[in-house]
Amino acid sequence: MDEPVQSRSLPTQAIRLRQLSKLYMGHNGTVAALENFSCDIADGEFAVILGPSGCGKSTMIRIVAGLEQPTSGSVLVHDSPITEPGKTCSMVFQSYTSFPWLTVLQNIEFGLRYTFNGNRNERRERARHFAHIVGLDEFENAYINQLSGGMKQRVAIASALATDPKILLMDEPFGALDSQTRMTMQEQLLAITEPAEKTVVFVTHDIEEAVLLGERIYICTARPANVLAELDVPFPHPRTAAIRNHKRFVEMKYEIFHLLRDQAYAQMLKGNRERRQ
Amino acid sequence: MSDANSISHRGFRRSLALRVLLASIPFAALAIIWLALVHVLNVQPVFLPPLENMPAVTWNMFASEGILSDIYISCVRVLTGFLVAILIATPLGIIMGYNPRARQIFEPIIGFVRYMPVPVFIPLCILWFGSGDLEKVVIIFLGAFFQLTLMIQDAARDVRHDFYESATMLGAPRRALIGRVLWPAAFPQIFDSYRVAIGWAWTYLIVAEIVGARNGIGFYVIKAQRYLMVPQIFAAMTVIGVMGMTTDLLLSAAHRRLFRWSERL
Repeated sequence: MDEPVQSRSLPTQAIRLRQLSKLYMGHNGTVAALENFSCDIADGEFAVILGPSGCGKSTMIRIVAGLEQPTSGSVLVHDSPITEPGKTCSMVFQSYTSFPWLTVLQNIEFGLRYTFNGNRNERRERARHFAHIVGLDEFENAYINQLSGGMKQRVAIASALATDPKILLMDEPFGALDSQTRMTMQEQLLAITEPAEKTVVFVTHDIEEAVLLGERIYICTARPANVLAELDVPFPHPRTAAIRNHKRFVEMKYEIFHLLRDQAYAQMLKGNRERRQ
Repeated sequence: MSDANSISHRGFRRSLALRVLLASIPFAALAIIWLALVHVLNVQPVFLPPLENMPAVTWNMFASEGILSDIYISCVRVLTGFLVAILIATPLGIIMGYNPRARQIFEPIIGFVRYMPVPVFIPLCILWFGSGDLEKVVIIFLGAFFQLTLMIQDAARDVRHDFYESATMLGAPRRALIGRVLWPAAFPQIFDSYRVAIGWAWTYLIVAEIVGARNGIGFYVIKAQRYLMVPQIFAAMTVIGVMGMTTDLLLSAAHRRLFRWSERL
């Protein structure tokens, strides 16, 4: 009985969430964003948290980041509890959070001052390296407001990766981009994260994005969010955008859509009801 | 490359010329109204001196009435009061903008004092500090400080919250957030409030100098009024206007130069 489990070389867990709940005090009483949210995310896994808009999945990733505290439940990141933002995780936000008063290179260097043991020149070299990885070599000295939305998010990704986190948290990072830019960014993200072998937690409401990027998809219910289903995505790495045409890809999209439809509808009704109050 | 440069340079010169032209329209209109009042409606020189006499009056003011030393004295007063105000208002406003506790402590008292009309403080200040430079500086400080603190507080509060979160996730400790995030993010807006505040500083200087002074440009105006030297009143007011406008132009040029990053291309 023990043998097969051993031979499968049980993966170590990067993130363990147990019975996570989060209540917010609103104008119309308390709102539960999360209720008994539990899941395990394996080390080195590209995990996608997929759920309808406003379901509380962002709250979950912000709790993992240490930016918010759960009302109850426990968060273990590499077996240690999270109470405040630490050096294990970096985060890419949906809004453009690169600092407009710094150049691209200075932005990437920002976190190195606190997380990287090296002198000024070594920090600069490392920042250059990451600017190159995200393809911004020619824009090292540009200010953020001179860049397009996709480029801004590439700066944010480079800044986050440069601090060498064990876990990269991404909260709908491509949500504000137009669909063409989003497609190229998804491909680039695959190209960047596949060789880096980092644990990635990627929050999105876009089914296609989830199937394209994720190794494992955690499908959330309507608010309060809960894990409705977990799916393994069978496509091997390295992946390219071409798998979008794969028969299995299209089937998976439909299966997930089927699972999510009721949840998205429930979330919509809930939203309408709250607006009317 | 040089082609593109020369084109943009020429474009810049043309737009500058256009801006100067547009800006001079209201000035020209003012001059025409002035001329018409004097020459068509025959307003007496006691009320409104002829415009054509003004260059000579102004020249005389500089050449033989020693207005330059008055201007110098006034500038020193304005700058001293203004600098003291920004040196205290900037850290206070930033702390109030960053920390809700500090805001809860200081905002009510500042809101209370700022609605007291500054001219009312003049008799008190003369009583306490005499009618010299110190009193003028205190009046300027009172006129600028309270409003400025609240404006800086607003600028500090306007800093996007996700910038702090992003900095924190990149490893910045809490104590680094004011210096590395709040200050650079809010500085353009804080600098703008300096620009507004120096305008108030000038206003309160003139008010202070009109009420009790032995020198300064405001005193010059009140002296001219006392002896019914109406042309000199107009000339002095023009000088004050020109100095204010120059300060503003210099500060907005500095703003553009300092905060290139905040412009969109």
